[in-house]
Formats: sequence, structure tokens, C-alpha cells
Amino acid sequence: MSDSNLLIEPLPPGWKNQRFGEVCDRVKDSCSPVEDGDTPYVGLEHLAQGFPAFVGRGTESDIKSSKTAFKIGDVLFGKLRPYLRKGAQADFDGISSTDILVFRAEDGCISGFLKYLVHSDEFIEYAKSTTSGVQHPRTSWPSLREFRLSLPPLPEQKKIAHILSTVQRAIEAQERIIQTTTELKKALMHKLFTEGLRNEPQKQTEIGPVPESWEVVRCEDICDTISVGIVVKPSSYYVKDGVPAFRSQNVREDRIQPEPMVYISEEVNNGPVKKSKLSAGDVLIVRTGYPGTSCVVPPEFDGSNCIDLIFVRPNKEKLRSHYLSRFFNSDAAKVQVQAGKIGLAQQHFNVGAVKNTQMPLPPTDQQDEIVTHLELIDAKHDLATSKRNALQDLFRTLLHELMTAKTRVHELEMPC
Amino acid sequence: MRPARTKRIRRRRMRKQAPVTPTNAKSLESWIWDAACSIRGAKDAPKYKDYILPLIFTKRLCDVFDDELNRIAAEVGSRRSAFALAKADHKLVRFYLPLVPDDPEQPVWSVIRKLADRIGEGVTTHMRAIARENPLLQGIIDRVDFNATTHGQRDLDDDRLSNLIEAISTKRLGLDDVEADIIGKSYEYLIRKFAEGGGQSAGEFYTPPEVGTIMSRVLAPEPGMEIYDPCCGSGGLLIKCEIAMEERERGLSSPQDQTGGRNAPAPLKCEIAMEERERGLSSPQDQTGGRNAPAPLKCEIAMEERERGLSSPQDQTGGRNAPAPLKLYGQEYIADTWAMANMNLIIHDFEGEIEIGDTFKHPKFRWRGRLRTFDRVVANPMWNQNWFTEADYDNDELDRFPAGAGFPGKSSADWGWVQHMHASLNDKGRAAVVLDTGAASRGSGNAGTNKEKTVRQWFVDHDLIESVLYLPENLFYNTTAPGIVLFLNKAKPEARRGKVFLVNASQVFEKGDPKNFIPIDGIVRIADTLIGWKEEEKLSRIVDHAELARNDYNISPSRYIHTSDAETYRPLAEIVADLDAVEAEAREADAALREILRKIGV
Repeated sequence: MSDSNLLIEPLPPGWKNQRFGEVCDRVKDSCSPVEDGDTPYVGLEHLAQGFPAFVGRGTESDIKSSKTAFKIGDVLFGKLRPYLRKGAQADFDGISSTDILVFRAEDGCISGFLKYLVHSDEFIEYAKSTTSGVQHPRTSWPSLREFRLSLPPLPEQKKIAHILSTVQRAIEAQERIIQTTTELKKALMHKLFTEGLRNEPQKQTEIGPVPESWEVVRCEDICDTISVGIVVKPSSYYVKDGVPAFRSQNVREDRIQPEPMVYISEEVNNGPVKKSKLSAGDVLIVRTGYPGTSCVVPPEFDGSNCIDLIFVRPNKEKLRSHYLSRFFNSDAAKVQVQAGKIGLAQQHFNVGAVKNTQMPLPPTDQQDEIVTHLELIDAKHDLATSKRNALQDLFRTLLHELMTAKTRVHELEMPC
Repeated sequence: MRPARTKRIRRRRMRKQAPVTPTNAKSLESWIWDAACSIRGAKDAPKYKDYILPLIFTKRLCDVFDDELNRIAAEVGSRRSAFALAKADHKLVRFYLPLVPDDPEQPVWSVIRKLADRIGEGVTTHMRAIARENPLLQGIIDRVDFNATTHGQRDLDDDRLSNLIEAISTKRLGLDDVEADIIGKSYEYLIRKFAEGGGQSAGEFYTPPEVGTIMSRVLAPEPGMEIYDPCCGSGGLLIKCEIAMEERERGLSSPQDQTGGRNAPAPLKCEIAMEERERGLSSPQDQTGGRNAPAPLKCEIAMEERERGLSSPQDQTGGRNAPAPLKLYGQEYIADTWAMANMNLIIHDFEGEIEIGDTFKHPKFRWRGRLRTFDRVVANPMWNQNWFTEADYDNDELDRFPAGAGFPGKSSADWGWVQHMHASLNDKGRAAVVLDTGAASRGSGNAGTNKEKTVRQWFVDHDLIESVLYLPENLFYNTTAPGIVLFLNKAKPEARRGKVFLVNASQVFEKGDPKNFIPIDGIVRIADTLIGWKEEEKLSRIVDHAELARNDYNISPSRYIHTSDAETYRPLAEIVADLDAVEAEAREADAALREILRKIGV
């Protein structure tokens, strides 16, 4: 057993050293589910990781065996694989999986504080050290209740809870911005690819409505090259340093994921695999895994190579690389990709299918405009993402500082 | 009258249901499954299926024999004389069993139940004796050695065998206790349960009942027709055909059924045996007036006729409603499965002929040196068999692989099987074949030639393909792949020539554990769509040959019908309004956070 604890030396005035079992009690109200009942049910899958929140809930009718009944305010903690940091405070009555421990705060402690306490590194460390079982490591109440901590007095608990929940609110707001932006992007793409930008009348085509002045073309007719990267024993060419070679994991929707990259030698690149040597502006399309995902080769990767990816070199007169890539990432293209892919276990997409893919084609100036619009949304999305990440860092740091009394808040005025 | 149909529509399969009636408390299905579990619990039951199935089958034979003896006894005075009579003239009963209890008043099954020591040996001896008396049962119930050992250890020791016999003994399966189609359905249910537990090997003998029902409804076999399944497994598809035919016939001939069944939202009773049982229990009319008025076995009718002459009115009502049964023909490669198919047919009380052997190399059904032809063919051959070589096709003497189509490549015999089935059809024959999804699309779009595509093209060009059905995922027991059903018609109606009907039913299913299933209304919807060539958005389309050619003879419905719902978007304005709201929220949260951080002094 680890000696991990949350004891603070020297103990700040008013704080008390206690065992976890004195701070809260474990709820053991057993409850047998009623068929067709609609009491909310919480399983491990409904708890967010590393963050005191829910990501959904089930209903009673999903489950069969008896479970624990909890009440509003109780703190639910996932005892299976505690390193996943699953714990949240319920704002509804319900029943929970037997892999979830239900804590109910005792008199000297408030629930709002308890839910952050179980997210402290010390508590998680302790829980990890008390697990048993190799396949399914679980901690247990008898072990957890022995966890020792220094508990701040009630007013300070309230302030700590208030501060942390404010950060949490800010994080959740960013999360919602990310979600809404994603939805906006999808809807906007659909609009751009079917209605265009000029508010012109639409015509019906094989792939649905498109603006009247646009054409519908097969990829093959508008690209100079559609071919596949290295497929025969690519790993035999790997060297430590040399020319980068893209694999599926380097291709994300409209962007490059440069790590981890593999390399091949200059000789190989200009020798046996020179057929698939890339130029800046080529479009890479994933074949296996998430078929159809595509991005454009940026200038700094001019001359690199690719492995088991489809690469497309558009006819520069008529087709913009970024427009092509955007199209392949759209739902409209995904429908065609779905139809053209082969194999179920390994979702697989081949060159023939890319050649036959049909695409709405506006004049190049409109292609550029469409790309610019979508890039703006991406920028917004990225901004929210990085903001959320920064806030998450802030949350972790504050949680640590407040729980260990490195930052004291007892003298602050707060509306709580 | 029957209870309203709607009451019987179950969204879930019966195994999730609690028993309904307290009297006959356990459904036959759960009883039969519990019996199977008595060996080593649910987990291991499938391993012992080769022991369990013949025993339940024997129990049915014993109880039916008992009933027949009682009937004879009623005429001649005692069971003792009945035993003697039956022994003297085996034709008096359907299957004569050489099992005579010491006390003739005891049930026949007691001979097996009373075995006290060396049970395995005893059971095996009795089963072999039964088989000796009944050539029909040879190789079917005497193939298992209950006394078998592996390395000196009994495979199924006497203790567990005795538990199994006891569990089976708890329910009578005689004529008055259960109707033939109920015990048949329960038997099917047991086979399905074994399939669920059997994992990889299960697909060898079991096709999901929903798929079988759709196939048989679309093929619409008529009374007296000959149906053939070249890879029949446990015979499920053949049985579905018989059931579909009888249902339709009954639906047409009996007004009761028409009001009670046809107009109701889900006229299918099909596989949900629970329903069937409920009806059996809740509607006495059905039991007495229905076709199987207490399930008259053929022999029984014969006996009664002999005893009472042909005038019995009861008999006539019993007989009149029954349409001429189909003639079922099947061939199966695996011996255990072949035995299962035979038992399945006998227990359903259907007529059939199941041959054993490799259909591909040695088809057993021949006529004057040629392949015998049938009215309907159904099959679910193992997908993508890769062991037949070009020589196997070249050596064929039965004109199954015509020039221009021929060898579909070594990697998958799917289209080879389709060719065999095509050759097994008469001039107006129709077939339904379950194939891997890839069989509809492989080779299309590739540069150069592809053998499989060439065969497919041959079938399209000869206008033999009537429709293709794309099934939902995770339906089959040994794979999660969706699979397709290919419908062939050698005499397509004029209006359908030059066209193929495609149905993408990939979304018509409900999640189940361990396998998805097609609910009853889904079965009806799919079957009706296929029968009527009804075009429906996101489900079905009529495609002409020219379009197939443009797509390089890809006949996969998923290529032509997109079911994706991804195209429904909320109005942009609404999303933007949402975004404004969450951004305002974010600003507020940020401001509150700033304030706190300022106070803490960050």
C-alpha cells in the first residue's frame, strides 16, 4: 500500500487531519432494476475522464442485476481502473453500476468539495496503489476509507469548491463552443457544396443539387495523377533520418499530423519508389482506417513520399488542392467513399474508387472562397480548443494548490 | 377468435421474456434450454449439442410412440397387447421403437430414464436399436456414442448424462402435449441458442431466422413444389419455405385467418415461437380447428383411417385445411449437421430428403445423368470458400459452369455456388442465395479483367438476377459482416426484364445481444418491398442494366442507395444563434474566472 496522502505539514489553523471514511460514508442502498423503469442509470461509461462531469446517462431498462441507488448531491467514483480519474457529483437521483462507489458527505464536509477531493493527484495515487486484479484493477471502499487527508474548515471548502467550479464552467463553455463550431462547419460545408456562394439557382445532378454554373466531374477527369504510395514492404525502406514518408496517421482532416513520421533514404526516394514522390499541393487520401480523410501536402514537405495512401495531383488550371481536400472531408464525399470502400474489418478504399468519385466543381475563384470560409471556421475551432486546453491546465494546477493549502483562500470574499 | 395480433408483436426476442402463464409455467423453449444447460451450464451447452439434440429427439419419438400405443390400447384393451401389435406390424405406428418397459403401463421413455449404471452404454445401445428398426433414422440418432472416451476419460460422464435425462424427462412431448410445429420451433430455438454460443463454427449450420423468412416469403413456394438447398446445414431455410407456404395457404383459405392475420399490422408469426405458444395456449379454437388438430401425424391418420374407415368427419376437417406439403431436398457436407437437419425435419413433421456429401464436387440429386432441377432453391453457402481450383470447375460434367462465365477465381467460390444453384433450377425456377457482401462488388472498378466480375456480368447479361438485398450488420452468427441475398429468377416477368431491383436494408434492424435482429415489422417491410418492387427513398431502387454496366457490374445495393442520415443538418441560422449563446456564456464564465484569479492574486 502506498503512503500517498493529502496531509499538510504544518497543519493550517482550522484544518483537521482525518481519514476519508470520516469525511464521507459509502452508500450501499441496493436497488433491483424494474423492467421498463426509467430511473436514470450511471455506468462507468457515463463518467467523464479526468474531470468531474457526466458524459451521458442510461436508463434502468438497460440493466438487469441489482445496483446502488444514489441521491442528488452524492459523489460517484469509478473504482475500476482508478487511474482513469472518473468521479462526478450527481444532480439527480438514480442508480449506478457496481463498479462505481457512491460517497455521501458527512457533516463536516460538503459534496461540492468532495467531488474535487477525489480528483486530487494524491487521492488517485492512493486509489491506484490499492487496486487488486490484473485484468480489472479495482480499488475498494475498505482501502479508500483509510486515505488520510487534511480537511479545511467548511467555509474554506465552500470557497475552494466555488473557485474550481468556476474554472470548470469556463472549460465547459469552451467545450460547447467546440461542439457548436463542429456542427456549424458540417452544415456550412453542406451548404457551400450544394448552394455555392453566389445565391444562384440549383440544378439536379447525380450527386444531388449543385449551383447551375457548376459542373459535376469525376475525379479522374480533372486530376493529372491519381495513384497510390508505397505498398510493398514499406518498412524495409525505413531509415532513421531522411525523406519524410506520410502514413495514414499523419493525415488528419485538412491538416498534417507531423508526429510520428517515418523516413526513407534519398536514394530510395529517387529510386524504387520515385513514382510516389510528392509535390507540394498534392492531396493525400487515407485508404485504411478512416477512408476518405484527406489533406494537402504543404510546401515544406515537397519531395517527400507516402505509404499506403492515395495521392492526387489536381489539374492546377481547374482544381485547387485545398478545395479537393475539403471536398473529400465532406459528408457528400463520405457517402461516395462508403459506397466505394471494400472490406469490413479493415475499411479500405482504392484508387479506382477515387477516380470514380464525383465532385461538384465551381470556378477556381469560388473554390478559393469556399476554402477561405472553411479555414475561418477551423481557426475558430482551434482557438477554442487551445483555450480549453489552457483552462484544463489551470484547473489541475489550482486543484493541487488549493487542496494542499499552497494557495489559501480563507480570507477572500466570495459570493458563495 | 384469436386475440388481437398486435398483442403478440414482440419487439424483443422471446429469450428476454419472462414466462407468461403460470400453469404451463415454463415455455417449451426455456424448458428445452434448461435441459441443455443441465450438462454444464449455459456456457458449455453448445459443446454438447451432439448429445443433447438426439436425446430430445428420442424423447419426442418415445412420447409420440406412447400416444400411439395408447390409442391402439384403447381399441384392443391393454397396452401390453398394443406393444405386441405394434411389434408385429410396425406400420401401425410411424416410428416403431424397440423399447418395452417392464411394466407396460409405464411410458416408453422410462426405459431410458431408468438406466441406473453404465448409462452411456445403455443409451447408445437403445438408440442403435431404434435405428435398426427404422432405416430413416439410421446415421441420425445412432451416430453419437454416449459412452465415448477421450484418453480414458468419459466425454460425458454418467452423472451428467443422468442429469440431462432427468431434465428432459420433466416434460412430455407427446401429440397431445405439443403440436409438431411448436416442438419444431423449439428445436429450432435450441439450434439457434447453440449457434449463439458456438461462435465461429455456428454459421456452418444456422442462418438467422429473419433472413430465412424473408427469402422464403419472396420466393413464395406453392403447394407441392420441390425446394432444394445444396448447403442445407440444419435445414432451417427449407423449413422456413414450408412454413411460409403453409402460412400463405392458410391465410388465403381460412377467413378466420384473413381477418385475424392478414389485415393486422404484422401478419407474420414466423420464428417467434413464444407467440406461437401463446396462441396455442390462449386460443382453443386454433388447437382444435387448425390444421394440426392435435397434430395428427401421418401415421396416426393412416391408422385411424384403417380403424374407422374414411368417413370420420374429424379427419376430414383436419385434412382439408392442410395444403399439399412442399418436397424438401437438401445436401449437407458435415455429418453431424446432416443428422441435425434430418432430426429437424422429422420433428417438424415435414417431408424431405437430406443427402450427405460435398455438393460442389458431387451433387447427389441427379436425374438421368444430369443435375436434377427444382422449383425453388434456397441456400447460405459458406462464404468465400477458397479451396476449389480451376480444375474443379473444368472437371464438372453437369454443365454447371457455362462458357463465358465459368471459373469465378480461386479466392471465392461464392459465384460458383450461384452457378450450381442456377443449374439446379427448372425453367421457371427461382432462387435466393445468401452471399458475402463482396460478392456483389468485388472486381468492379478494377482496371483489367476480373474473373468474379465476369461471372457476375454473365448473370446480369442473361437477365437472371431479379433483386439483391443488402442486410444489416451483425446478423450472422460467425461474422459481423452484413451479407447480401441474391434473388435469381429464370423467368422474369416481362416488365422486370433488363432491370434489377436493389434493396439496402442496412438500417432495418434492432440491436440485440449477442446479435442484431430484424424485427417483425422490418421483415414484413423488406419482404413486401422485394415482392412488389416498391421503390422507396433510402431503401430501394430499380436499376436498369445500362446503369449496372456504367458501374462496371457492381450490383451492391449500397452502391446505389445511400441510407446515410448525415445529410440532415440544422438550419445554419439556428446553429449560429446557439454559437452566440455559448459564446456569451463563455464570456461570462471567463469574467467570473478572471475575478477569482485576481482575488487569489494570480
